[in-house]
Amino acid sequence: MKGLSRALCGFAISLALALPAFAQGSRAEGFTRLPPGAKVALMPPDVELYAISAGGIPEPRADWTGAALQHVKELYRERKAKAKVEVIELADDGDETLEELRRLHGAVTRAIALHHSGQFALPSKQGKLDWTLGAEAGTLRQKSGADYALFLHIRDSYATAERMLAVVVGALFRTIVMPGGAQEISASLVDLRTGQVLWFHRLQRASGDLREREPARETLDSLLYDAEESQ
Amino acid sequence: MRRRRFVLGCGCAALAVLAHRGGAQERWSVPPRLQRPDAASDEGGWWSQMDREEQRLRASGFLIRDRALNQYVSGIACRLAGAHCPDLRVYLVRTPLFNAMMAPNGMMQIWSGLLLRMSNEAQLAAIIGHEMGHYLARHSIEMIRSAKTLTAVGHYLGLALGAVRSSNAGRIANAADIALLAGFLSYSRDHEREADRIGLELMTQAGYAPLEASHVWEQLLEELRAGPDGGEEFWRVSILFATHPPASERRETLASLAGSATGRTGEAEYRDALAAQRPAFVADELKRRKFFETRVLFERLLKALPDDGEVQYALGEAYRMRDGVGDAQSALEAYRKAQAMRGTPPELYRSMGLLERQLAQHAEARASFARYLELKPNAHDAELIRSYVKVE
Repeated sequence: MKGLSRALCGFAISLALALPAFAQGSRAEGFTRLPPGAKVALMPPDVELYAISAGGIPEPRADWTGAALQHVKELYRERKAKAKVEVIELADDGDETLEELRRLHGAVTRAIALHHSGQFALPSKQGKLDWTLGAEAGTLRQKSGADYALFLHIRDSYATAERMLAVVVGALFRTIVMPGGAQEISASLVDLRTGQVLWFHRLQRASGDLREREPARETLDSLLYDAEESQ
Repeated sequence: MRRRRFVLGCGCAALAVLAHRGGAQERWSVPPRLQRPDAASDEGGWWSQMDREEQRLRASGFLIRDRALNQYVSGIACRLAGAHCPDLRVYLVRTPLFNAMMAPNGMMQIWSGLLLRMSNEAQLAAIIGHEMGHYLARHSIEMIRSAKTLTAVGHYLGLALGAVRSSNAGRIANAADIALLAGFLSYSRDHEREADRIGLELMTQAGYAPLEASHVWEQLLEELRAGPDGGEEFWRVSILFATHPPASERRETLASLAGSATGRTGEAEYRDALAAQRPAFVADELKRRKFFETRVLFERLLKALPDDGEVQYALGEAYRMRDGVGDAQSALEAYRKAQAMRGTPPELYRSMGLLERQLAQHAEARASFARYLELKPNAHDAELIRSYVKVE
C-alpha cells in the first residue's frame, strides 16, 4: 500500500515538474530597497489552501490554511528582522478602511498582472511598473503608523490520494490528467505616502508547500527573492 | 484494494443520491444545535472559508446598517430558530434582486430586493424558515459531497468512454457530463423542496400564517409573467430555475401543505419596520430598468400603502424612464395622483416639468419647475432648472 502511494506521489511529482512554472516580478523606477528602520504594515494575508478531490473539485482546508497563515507571518517577520525593518502586523478585524484598501489593491494588482507585461501590456507604461492606489493609501498610514504596506494573496492546492489515483488511471488510458495541485501567489509593496506600488511579484507553479514551516520558507524565498531587502 | 474500495464507494454514494430523490417525505424534527466541525474535515474547511467571507461582508459598503431593521429581522429569525438562535447571523444586503442565501456556518444574507417584495412579516418568515431549513439539514455540505462524487464518477466514466475510441465517444462522453449535471441539479431541487417543507413547519410553529409561504411565489410569478414574453426568457436564462423547482410548483405544494391552518401575518409590523429604508429600495428597483416587473411590484405596494407618495412617484418614474408610446401621459397621471399623497418627494415636480416641457406645455412646465425650486432651492441641479424656467 505504502509502495503504491509512494509510486503515485513520484509519478505526480514528475508530472508536476514537467509543468511550466511562471514568475513575474518587477519594481517601480527609482525604488531599490527599503531604508533600514523602515516600518512596514503587514496587511492580513489573504490565504486559502485547498485539497483537490478525484474529480478535480477544490475543497478548502481550514487546518492547512491556518498553518500556512501562521508560517507566512512568522517567516516574513524573521526576514524583516534580518533586514532591520520593523513589521507592524495588522489584525483582520473587519475594519472598513482596511477592507476598502484591500479591495482597491486587489483591483490594481489584477490590472498589473494583466497589463504590466505580456500580450496585453500597456504601451503607454513603456515597461515601467507605474501603478498607484492613490491618496487613499494615506488612511492606512495614519491608522498604522507605517510608511509601507505589504499585501499577500495566496492560493495553494494539493492533490489528494484519490486525485493522484485519477492521474495514474488516466495515464493507463493514455489520457493526461493534471494533478491540479498548484501555487498562485502574489505579493506587492505599497508606499503609503504616495500610494505607489513599489514592487510586485507573482508566482504560479505546480510545486511548493505552505503546510509545513521549512517548505513554506522555500515558497517565501521564491516569492520575495527580488524583494525590497535583497539588494 | 484501495482502488476497488474507492470505485465502490463512488457507486454507493451515487445510489444514495438516487435513493434520496425518492424518499425524504418522513416527518422532520429540529436537530440539536450544530457544533463547529473539525478543522481537518471537508465541512470544517467550508465553515472557515465562510467565516472569512462573513468578515468581508461585515465590512462591505452594501451592508444595510439600519439598527432597527436589523433587530426586527433578526428577531423573526430567532423566533423561528428557537435553540439555534445564537448560531445564526442575519445580514441585510443592499441589492435590488429577489434573493436570500444561507452558508453552512450560520451566516444568512437577505437582499433588499427581497425585503421590498414581501407583503408581510409572515412572508419574510417563510423565506427565513426556508434558508434555515438548508442550514439545519446541512444541505451545502451534502451538495459539495455529492458534487465530489459525481465529478469523480464523471471523470472515470469519461476516461472509460474515451478509451472506447469510437467515433461517437466524444458525444457519449458529453452526454454523460450532461446527465451528471442534470443529476446534480435535480439533487439541488430536492434540497429546495425539503427546505420549503422545513421552513413551513418552522413558521407555523412560530405562529405565522403558513399560507403566506405560497403567496411569496404567487407574487413572484405575477411579476415575471407581466413581461412581454410572459417571463419566458427569465425561466430560460436564470440559474435560479435550474437549481430550484419552478415557482408555480412551490406555490402549489406550499399551499397544499399549509392547508387551512391559520396564523399571524404581521402586515402592519412589516410595513412600519421597512418604512425608513423603503424609499431607497424603491429607487434601486427603478434602476434595474425592468419595467414590467417593476410596475407589477409598485402597483402591489400601492395596494398595501395607498397613501404612499414615494411609491406612486416611483411608478410615474418607471413610465417616464420607459418612454414608450403613451408613457408620458401615464407618468403624468401617476405624478398627479402622488401630489395628493404623503411623503411625495420634491423631485416629482422636476419630473413633471421635464415631461410637460417635452409635450410643449410650457406654462405647466414653468409652474412645475418653480414648485421644485421652491421646495428644494439648494438642489444640485437648481441652476439647470432655473435656466429652463427662463427659456420657457
